Amino acid sequence: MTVENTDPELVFHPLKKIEIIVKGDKKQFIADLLDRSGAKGYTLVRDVAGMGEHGFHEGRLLYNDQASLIMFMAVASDETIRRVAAGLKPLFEKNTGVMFVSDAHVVRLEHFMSKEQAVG
Amino acid sequence: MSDQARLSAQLENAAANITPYWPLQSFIAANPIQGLERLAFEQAVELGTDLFGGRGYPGAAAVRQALADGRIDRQVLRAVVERHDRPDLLQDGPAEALATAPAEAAPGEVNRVLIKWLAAFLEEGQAGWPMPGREQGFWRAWRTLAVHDRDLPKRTEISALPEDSLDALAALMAEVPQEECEAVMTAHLVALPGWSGYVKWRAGQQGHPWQQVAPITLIDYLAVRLTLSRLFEESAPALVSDGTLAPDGAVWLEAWEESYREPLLQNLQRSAESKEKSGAASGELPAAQLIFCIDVRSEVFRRHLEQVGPYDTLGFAGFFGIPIAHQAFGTKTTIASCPVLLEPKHVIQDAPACGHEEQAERHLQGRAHLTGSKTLVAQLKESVATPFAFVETAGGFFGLAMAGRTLLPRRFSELLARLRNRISPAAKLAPQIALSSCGPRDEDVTGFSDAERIFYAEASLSIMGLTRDFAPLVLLCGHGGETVNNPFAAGLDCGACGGNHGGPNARVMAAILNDPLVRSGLVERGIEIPETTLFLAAAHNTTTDALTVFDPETGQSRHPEAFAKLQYDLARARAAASAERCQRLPAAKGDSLAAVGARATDWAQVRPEWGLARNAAFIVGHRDLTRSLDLEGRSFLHSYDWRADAEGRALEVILTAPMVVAEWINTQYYFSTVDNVAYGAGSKITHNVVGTFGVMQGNASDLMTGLPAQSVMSSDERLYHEPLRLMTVVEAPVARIEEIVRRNDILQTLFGNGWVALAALDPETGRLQRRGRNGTWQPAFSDASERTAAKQTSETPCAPVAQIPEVA
Repeated sequence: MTVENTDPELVFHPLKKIEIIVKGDKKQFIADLLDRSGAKGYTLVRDVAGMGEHGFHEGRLLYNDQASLIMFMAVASDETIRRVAAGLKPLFEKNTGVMFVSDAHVVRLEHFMSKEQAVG
Repeated sequence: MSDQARLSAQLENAAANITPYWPLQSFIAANPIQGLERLAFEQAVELGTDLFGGRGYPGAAAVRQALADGRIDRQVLRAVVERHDRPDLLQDGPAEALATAPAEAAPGEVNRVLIKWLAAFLEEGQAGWPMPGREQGFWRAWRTLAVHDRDLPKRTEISALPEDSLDALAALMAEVPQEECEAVMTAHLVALPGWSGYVKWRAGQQGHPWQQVAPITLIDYLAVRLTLSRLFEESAPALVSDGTLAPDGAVWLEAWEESYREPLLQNLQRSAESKEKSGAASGELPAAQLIFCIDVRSEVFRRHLEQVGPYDTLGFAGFFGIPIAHQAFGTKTTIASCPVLLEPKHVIQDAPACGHEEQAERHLQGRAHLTGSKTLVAQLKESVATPFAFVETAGGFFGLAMAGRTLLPRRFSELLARLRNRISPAAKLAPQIALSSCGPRDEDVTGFSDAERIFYAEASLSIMGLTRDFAPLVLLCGHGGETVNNPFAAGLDCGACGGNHGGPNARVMAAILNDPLVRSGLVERGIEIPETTLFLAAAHNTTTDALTVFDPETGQSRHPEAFAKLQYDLARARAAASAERCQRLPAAKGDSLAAVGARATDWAQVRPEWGLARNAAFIVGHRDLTRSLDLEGRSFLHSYDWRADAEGRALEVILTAPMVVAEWINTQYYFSTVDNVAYGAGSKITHNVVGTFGVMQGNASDLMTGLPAQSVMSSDERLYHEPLRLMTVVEAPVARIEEIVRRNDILQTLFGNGWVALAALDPETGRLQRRGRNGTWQPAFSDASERTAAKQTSETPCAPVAQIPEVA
């Protein structure tokens, strides 16, 4: 079913989304990487549990933040997400973690890109 | 830019090889080769030799001494060498090659200059004239100033490098092939693992006041280091291995460990059997329950206290399960008072207790006078113009003080305390546990919400298995050491409280558990605390064995008889515990209470107490299992009720946090003992404190990150600490333990790679079993003939032999 856009101000801008799941002790590195790569922000989900190549990973450890898994979610331009992914590739050669890159749409573009990026 | 992102990830991987170094103020114990725990212990210590030049096994002299003392049991040794098919070791003894560690490389110009600049940049208020421009970060500040450093050749080249540290690092690494980048950065980081470890720690502390004053990252560090290498034309430092580490080290270590572990396991098995035979407890409530930190030092006091009266003692991580940042009364800064594995989640402020506001005001005024005088003295000492005049006028007074400190340390300390108390009389304070606003923003709050207080109370009581049969008095005993003129003082405090005294946490948890709202919330969760039960906070001084209750008036008014008896018995337990400890402390003769008191106040004392030396086991279970045993202050004891934890959630918390902290402590003691120069801090006698956060040997060495020689050795030749890896014994069904291990990477790493051994006393079968590194379990005991037949076939040489099928 196609829904006609009757609101000309409601534009869906195509961007990329990256989800990164790592151990808590990599929080600082990922936050810095996103920042340096040009992401304007991110969402952090703590205490993530799940099944992976090495079996089940426990999410919440009451007294241990470093061994708990966390998930970053960031939406940005294709260029920015590529930079982030380039930084994650060598990291995942030595450390536990996964990343997912997918298409995403946002309404308020200025929240996800700098003015220069948006114009360019 | 993608190249920079890749470079930063490669640096993150390279930095995984170095252990963060916490500053002296908290002195958190850590495995100096923590980054190598991903490897089997035997491989890790060999790589540790390559990277850090450290010896990974006890030296030949220490092994010979242990054989002579009987600490390596000949019979156990026979069994171990048979397992390894090395009967020759019985005749030959330890080979000298064991003791051969590569010689320390001569310090190069790069190291010398880098240390000079790091010390200047990182100092925390020691310098009268601090390095300018520090707020720009290490690379930028150095880049601006280094062009004036006459120690540097071709220093004009520095300005040509990019202003941004990552861009500069990328430029400096431009000619290094991609596949070699990580190795090159690793070599530069491990050249000074103490300094790079401290930078690694600082970089992760965004909120640290000095990180805000002088921000530094490992990118800055490497950019400066690589620039210096280029200027001095020094190539990347070569790894220092000389391949002399003898493989027999693993055999001797196993023999030593088994000589300790086998008797301990036999004792635990016997204790479990007699517990089963004697049936359930009498049903009578103890006069009081006292909850101590799991710290090995608590065991001595607990044992003596249980012997003098009808008391139950429990063990729990000394932060009492509350991840707080504590803000002492009248201060603006907070101190993280929880394990470093956790980020503090609540700020707790102290405030005057009800009706003590005026007294608190006097205390604050007095403290302001004391602080002002101290600052004035420091300024007079450091100013260019005043030192001579200051010495002329005040030198006599300081000379008298020095004589007092030296000749009558205890009396002098008491005199100072009295003087301090007169100027700034102690005020009665109470932690503010209820949620309250402390600033303009919504998130500026201190304390806990109602739900959070109930949650933490339930979690702590459940994890330690104290959910019923509460005594009228329950003491929560935080702990700390007492010492003067000792840069390593924090090493004697509570590791679970981030290297701080545990008193504040005990007070907060006691207040939570006395809160009527919390108690009614707990009833809904099945924990009914009688109205008559009173929780009191106390401080256990591990140097003097004094146990001080924070709020004795409440104890006296609510339970006068029981409280008076408890105070009396605490004094008796103190005398007995200090007498036992004095047998092991050098030159602690005569009255034991006087001896331990003197050590706490003597500014020349290099061993105020033995700290956690000789730690070797971590026992998780009910106190009934260990109550009849003398564990010689070598075991961490965590209370646990396997019956009340069907899903294993409490056990999972215990194994993934307190046990991990115990492993950090154990490995720090282990490596500081087997190689005190590479992994320890060397002798205290030649230490220089740098920037208030670390120590160096001489005036330009690497930061010495481990324990000083005096903490692990009783003389230059003789070890006091026995370098044994931790053995964890859990009183719980094997299947439950195995399930927890399987769902936690950290446990698979520690148990699977041989950093910690695991045994289970399965209460359902009554059998003691040991876990092999590959996850299989076998009975802990077999007779001699079985042992002979069970030759080692496992891939991992030190692992207990996998003989029985895996437990599902």
